Amino acid sequence: MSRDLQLIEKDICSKICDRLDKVGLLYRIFSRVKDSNSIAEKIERKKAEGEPYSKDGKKMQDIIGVRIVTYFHDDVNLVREILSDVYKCVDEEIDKVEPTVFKPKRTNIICSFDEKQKGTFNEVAKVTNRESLQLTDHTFELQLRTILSEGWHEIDHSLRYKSKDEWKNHSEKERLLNGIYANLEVNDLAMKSLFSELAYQHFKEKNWEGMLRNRYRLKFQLFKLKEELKHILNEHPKVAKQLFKVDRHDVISKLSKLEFSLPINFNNMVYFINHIELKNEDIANLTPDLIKNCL
Amino acid sequence: MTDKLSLVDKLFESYNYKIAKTSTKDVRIYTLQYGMYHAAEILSFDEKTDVSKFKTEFSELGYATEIRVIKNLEEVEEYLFEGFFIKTPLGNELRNRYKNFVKKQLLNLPEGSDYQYINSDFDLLLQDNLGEVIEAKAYSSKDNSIISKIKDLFIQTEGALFIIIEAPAGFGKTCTANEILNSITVENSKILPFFTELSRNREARVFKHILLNEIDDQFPNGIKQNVVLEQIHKGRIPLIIDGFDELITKENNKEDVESMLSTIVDLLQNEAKIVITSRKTAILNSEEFIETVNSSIENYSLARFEIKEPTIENWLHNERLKLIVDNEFPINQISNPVLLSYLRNIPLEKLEEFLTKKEGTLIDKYFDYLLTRERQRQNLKLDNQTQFRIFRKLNRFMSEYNFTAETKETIKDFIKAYNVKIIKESLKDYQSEEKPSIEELTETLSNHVFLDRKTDGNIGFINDFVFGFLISENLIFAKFQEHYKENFTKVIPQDFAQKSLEASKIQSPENKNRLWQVYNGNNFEYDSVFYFDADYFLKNEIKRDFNTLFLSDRTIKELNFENHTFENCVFAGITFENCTFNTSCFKKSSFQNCKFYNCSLPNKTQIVYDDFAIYVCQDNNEFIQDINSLYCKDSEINEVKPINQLTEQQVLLQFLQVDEKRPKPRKFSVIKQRLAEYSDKDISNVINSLIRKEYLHFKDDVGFITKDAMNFLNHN
Repeated sequence: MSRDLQLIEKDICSKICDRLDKVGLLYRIFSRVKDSNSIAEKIERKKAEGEPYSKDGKKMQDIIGVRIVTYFHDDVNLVREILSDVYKCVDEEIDKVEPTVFKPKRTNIICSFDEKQKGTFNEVAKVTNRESLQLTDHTFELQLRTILSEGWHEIDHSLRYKSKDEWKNHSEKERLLNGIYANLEVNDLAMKSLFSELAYQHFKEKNWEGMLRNRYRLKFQLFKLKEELKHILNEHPKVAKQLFKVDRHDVISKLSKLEFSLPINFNNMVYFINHIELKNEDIANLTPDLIKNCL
Repeated sequence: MTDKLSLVDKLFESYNYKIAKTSTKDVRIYTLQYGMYHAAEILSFDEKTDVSKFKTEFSELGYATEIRVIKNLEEVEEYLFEGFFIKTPLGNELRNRYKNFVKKQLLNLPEGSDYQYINSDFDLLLQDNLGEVIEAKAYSSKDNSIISKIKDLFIQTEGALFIIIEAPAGFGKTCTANEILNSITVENSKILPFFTELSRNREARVFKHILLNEIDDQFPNGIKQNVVLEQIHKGRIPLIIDGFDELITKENNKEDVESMLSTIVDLLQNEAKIVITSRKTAILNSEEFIETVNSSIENYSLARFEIKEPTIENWLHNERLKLIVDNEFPINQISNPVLLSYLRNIPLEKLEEFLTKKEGTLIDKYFDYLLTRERQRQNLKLDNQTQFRIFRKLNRFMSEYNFTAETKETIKDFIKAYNVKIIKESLKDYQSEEKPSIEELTETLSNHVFLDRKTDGNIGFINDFVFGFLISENLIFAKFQEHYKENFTKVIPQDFAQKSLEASKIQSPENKNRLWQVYNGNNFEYDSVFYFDADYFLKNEIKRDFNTLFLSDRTIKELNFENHTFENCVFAGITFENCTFNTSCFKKSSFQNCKFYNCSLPNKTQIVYDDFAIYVCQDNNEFIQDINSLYCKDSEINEVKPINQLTEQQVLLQFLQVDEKRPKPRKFSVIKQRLAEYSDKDISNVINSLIRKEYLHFKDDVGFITKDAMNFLNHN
């Protein structure tokens, strides 16, 4: 059965990767199909907890789980937004940040299968005729988190979440483990501002490539920025400043919506941002038609 | 060419390219993204068209650009297929698959052996896409090879082609499938065959998903399923599926099988070429199968091959054969391909030694050879019996969970967990400098000569012979009985048990008898065909009464049907050689499309036609005439007297669809039912005559109408 479901898993991942690779985001993807033992265990556990799954009521939603681990804190929301074009979100658990409490922040989204994936699932359900599949709906769980918190989450899940009893009388230790998470969250923020500052330094030094790389934090092709573009930016500090100030989230999100795939390099970024935001004529004159016609 | 623009666009889109907006009528630009890699293909239809502007633009944007001047659609097709499939590491790998297969075959043979495909006789039934039988013929291996026949069909058939190769265990299905793969590869590099070997594993259930998973696994990441499926439809990727029956279990319900067939039928579009091999199974003659084929045959031609048993002459050169005959060696000890290929290749002196030394059976000697060599080859410090123990356990595990292949990790985990003591003991026998870790030793055992990596990457037993042999050992040594107690009869799937019967054909009489005792002394709940085979293979004697036995397609030699009764039994497409029959043992039973060679009727008692009905049968002596003379008159009084005489046309019309324009295969039993107002004898007579005229052809109990018959019907 799990081989059949793997087909859905692979399809989900391939669609996700296509989208994220298109904009050159830095990420890692992990996925798994729940094996029959874990399915049975979870069904039993839910029953014991008094919230049993049922055919007409609540069903299991994470028979397929996909986790996307981003390198930067602000990419979590970006990925969520980009993927909302690909998969329909039916439910989500997104923890709010509280000012005085440090605790893990979950971004878990329940997405529904697309039509093809639903078809595959129904074929498996029909043939295997397993009760467990009747208690599962047409969804998968998408978890988003940063790479710094990933290790912590793994440890927490294996050694605390699954054996809560062992921590009962050790609140000091529990506080410390949470404290470690707090540290990581601070580091996530520090990392982001470190790169922002580095980008600003490069901006001030008119090192436009350094500025773009550290501002946008994408996998850039190894192309140099064109001399003509460098020249324009050197001559027009206002344009350069706009280029630095433009909303990163907005730019990448618009890139992801392009009909075609634009290779991610410094030139294209400048052309593209100019085309959608800056509207500088000199840059526009250099911009290839393909980008001009893109929206 | 420009009027075909949309076709070119479609072609590129079928490979997941996007059409760039800057494309014009004269220059087409297609872009493709794989991860971070971006490519742009710039096509012009005329060398004079200047494409440099486009090339510069796309290169500057960061695309890897390729410029092509294309003259016609075929060229585009070639170019894309080559780029995606042929000129890739994958193309090379698929081309090497046959070589690897041969290498594996040689692994079990003495050094210096050579691999050669053994040609056998075969039958062919070919239907065109009107459903008419255009060829129904038995071929002799002396004049024709099944491989060249299939190759011809590949070349000559217009439109889609579905080839089914049926043969019982050990007749060479896998070798034939690989030989077809090789013949396609060598002859024509413009197509790339996709070969998959099905094995039952616990992880997958739906055949379509198994196939798609295989595509995902065997083709690289960048190539998506839709690209491969499209090329399958176009016939550029012929599909060879070895062991179609592997997924069919006794528990499968009808829908499972229907969905397997409809998956294949769905793929049979345009120029698709699909070959499947299967053991002989009633499913391929079932109403569901006939119905599935019948409702879709307009889309393809159907060629059904049946491989006949390779003869010992096919296998062994005269010199070796003479040695065996001269030594009066029991021939049934070698009627197995695994042993025959071994005997074909061992040095002549060694063969002589085997034949003259009496103790132990040939099979013992063969395993002795394999396992002793395994100790040297892999530096194993496990004696032969211990090696057997380890794999008997694995074999029991496979039975319990009903699978034939699993991932290497699972197999290793199993070997490690269930052989802790054996492995630790064995490690003591290594000198310290060569001592492997437990992990290394399990790795070595997972590469054992008994095991083999299948095309899906999973590991299973090397062949059904070893698999079946271990099942029978587990039963003979009461290992199943010991580990599963009263439950043990539920643990072994029937098709696994069947493999044990096949493998035991060449066992010593004592072991055959012990296996028979286990199967007959316990309630396994297998079907009656299994028990018939158990009696025939292990005892060469009928040991029980049979009710509702449906036996088809096999050769039965030297068996007496004298002391036990057969009620409501059907024998279809069976060749009886040197068998004796007592007609009074049969009640309401029939023989259809059977051959009786040198068969006899020592006790001639009168019979009723219904009890011993013979349709469409042949003999080489007076057998059928004798039977006919035994029918007593009484039965005819009871038969309904038809008002009219049954005509050939009336019978032929039963083999047409409702529209009376297209043919439809029919099971014999259905025909009988539909013509219930006529006597069985009348029906039988007319059908016999139609067969002689080559208007009807029977495969097992299914009748097909030929092209000549269609002509006859159209003109009368």
